[in-house]
Amino acid sequence: MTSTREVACLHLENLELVMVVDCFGDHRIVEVNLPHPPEIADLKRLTDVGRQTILSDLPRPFFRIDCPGRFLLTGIIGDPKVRFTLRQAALTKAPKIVSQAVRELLNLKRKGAKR
Amino acid sequence: MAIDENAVVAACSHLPLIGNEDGLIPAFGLYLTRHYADFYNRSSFEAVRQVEQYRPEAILQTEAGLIEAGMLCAFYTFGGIMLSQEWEAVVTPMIESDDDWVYGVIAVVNSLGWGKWRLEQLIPGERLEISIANSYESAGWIGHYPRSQRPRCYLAQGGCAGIMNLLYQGDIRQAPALNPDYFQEIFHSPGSFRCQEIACRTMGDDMCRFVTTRTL
Repeated sequence: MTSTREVACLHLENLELVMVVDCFGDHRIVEVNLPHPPEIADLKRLTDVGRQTILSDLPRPFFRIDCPGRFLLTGIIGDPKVRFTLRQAALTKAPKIVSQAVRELLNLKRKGAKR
Repeated sequence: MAIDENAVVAACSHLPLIGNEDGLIPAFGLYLTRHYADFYNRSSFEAVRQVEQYRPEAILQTEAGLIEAGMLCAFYTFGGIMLSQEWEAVVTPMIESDDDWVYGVIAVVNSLGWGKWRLEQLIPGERLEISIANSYESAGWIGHYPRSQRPRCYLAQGGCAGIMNLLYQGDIRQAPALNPDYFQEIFHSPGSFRCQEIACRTMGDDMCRFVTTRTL
């Protein structure tokens, strides 16, 4: 089974979230073009991480970070496109969870947050 | 051929293919399932054997249904793999020609525990011949049933046809949407590829062999 690539777009805090309809008919997969490509150091900022796999020996290093209860994040170091595969329990809060994770990942301040 | 199959298998073996709390295994941009090969084998083979015993005139339609299921599986699974970030990271850097997509997807298949697939011949856009030394379908049949008079690797037949249809009837390289309309377009249109299993371990052959060509 797999996802299709029929999409709906959602713009949130200057991020374009591409919601991919999967084979269950859910928007379980969210693709995000980050403002800049993630580096390995960025991945360490994510909180509540379970299993983390980084295949750094590959010509295009691949990462796979599992955050139980929230999502699986996959992507390629140096490529701004990342993919969140959300858990069922997180589906209704997808935009919030994804934008929070992106802020953690890229160490971004929330828009309008007090400094 | 630029694909280093050992490198692909090694990279894929580092990916944790384990279930999450939703009961899903997200990997290669799709959801995998993990279950006993014999669960599938017994389900399909018992259905076929019932038809053979009670409605032998319907055996070809029954087998066609199982092969169709294999083609659907190939469409979503192989298509999803070739559109995935894992593919982009592991296989794409090795691709030098369009044909390498075929070698690449077979390398990934060989990391999934479906038996050892070997590409015997590829005539791009025309013909694909694959052998499988230890297909799990043939192993399942041999383990439970007497020698067969007909080939029994239905899923693998659908898989072989799927590779050719995704690459040469459609064009997975253009990242199309994998939806039912596209499946119909590339699997059920004039010139779509179909696979024939020309040798099968269940019939006493040393390995299973699959030839995929276009329908007339």
